[in-house]
Amino acid sequence: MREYRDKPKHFVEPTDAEIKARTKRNVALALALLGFTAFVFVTMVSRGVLPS
Amino acid sequence: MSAASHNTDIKAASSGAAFNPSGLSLAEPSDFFALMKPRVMSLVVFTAWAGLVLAPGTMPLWAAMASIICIAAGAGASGALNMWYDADIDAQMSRTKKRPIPQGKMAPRAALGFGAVISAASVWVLYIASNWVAAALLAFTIFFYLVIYTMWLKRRTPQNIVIGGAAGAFPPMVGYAAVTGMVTLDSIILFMIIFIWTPPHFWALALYKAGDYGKVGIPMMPNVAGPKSTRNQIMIYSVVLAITAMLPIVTGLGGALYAFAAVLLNLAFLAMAYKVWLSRAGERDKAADEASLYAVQAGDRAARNLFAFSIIYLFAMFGVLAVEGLLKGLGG
Repeated sequence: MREYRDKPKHFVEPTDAEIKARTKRNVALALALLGFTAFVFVTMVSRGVLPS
Repeated sequence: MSAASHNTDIKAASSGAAFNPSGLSLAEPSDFFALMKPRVMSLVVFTAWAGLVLAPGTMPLWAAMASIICIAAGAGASGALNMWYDADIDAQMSRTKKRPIPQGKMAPRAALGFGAVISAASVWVLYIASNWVAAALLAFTIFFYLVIYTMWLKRRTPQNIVIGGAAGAFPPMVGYAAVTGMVTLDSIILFMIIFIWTPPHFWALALYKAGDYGKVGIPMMPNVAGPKSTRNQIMIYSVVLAITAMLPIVTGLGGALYAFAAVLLNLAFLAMAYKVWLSRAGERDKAADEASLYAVQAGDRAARNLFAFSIIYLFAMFGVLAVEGLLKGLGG
């Protein structure tokens, strides 16, 4: 039996501006998550402050 | 604007079809930062810090910093949720049309997701860093700003910013509760100062931006009750504000330095409100000849001055209170 695939008929290539904006968002998200991890570690985990 | 048409606008914009055919948005990190209303956030951070400093008791520096960051993030998140809901009217007002969603850089659903995630994270981390009272107050602040103010009051009543102003008044109370785990008379006074300050602050803006709000059907006081009534109410609220501002002296929250600064600042506030009261600010429609148009323009300038000064006023009031509190702490 043939596998069902919903193939897109009108594929639109992202523009350079869209890809650039996406890269910036990805970098910002990674940095924010890294910052948040460091923040939680420094302020709470390293001090043994965790929710009961 | 009916609720049905508002929902349709949001849905159309959220579908993605209104944006880029590839489905990728053009929103950059700075656009997400703009969603958080940085200028409002700075006032929130400052008043929350003041509440934290003025609260009796101590808390570790890391917990204080974490609390401030959480309160700032919570305020920013509610700003993003506000921009998600108000995307339809923001596009039509000169003051707000350059926001990321009306500009077409970002789909409203992106702002909704961003706001929801940051809201939940800020409340959760505040609970861990301080206590459940502060976290619950922050959650209530976000709820109040989004549901009570943005969704319910803003488009329905000219009292929108009177009641909705409570959302902006909560931060010092949250900061205070982060230290004490309680809501006390002193923290209620801090709340009341911002609560009473909000109507004259916003109505001064609305007087010279009345056309903008009227265009999108937001029932701001000058559009509904007229400029004269608005000017009267600005004057009344300014007097009540001056009285409320003296309460910290009565309870001992503020000392001699605060008393001196509060008297000066409130006299200046009253003088500027009085100038607006005597003026013809907001009467652009009624200005028939050149002379009256000049009087209206002068009135609008007085309203603009009051709006600008009101921001300095709040920073200065809380700044003096906090500095005096810090000095008292160092001395004691």
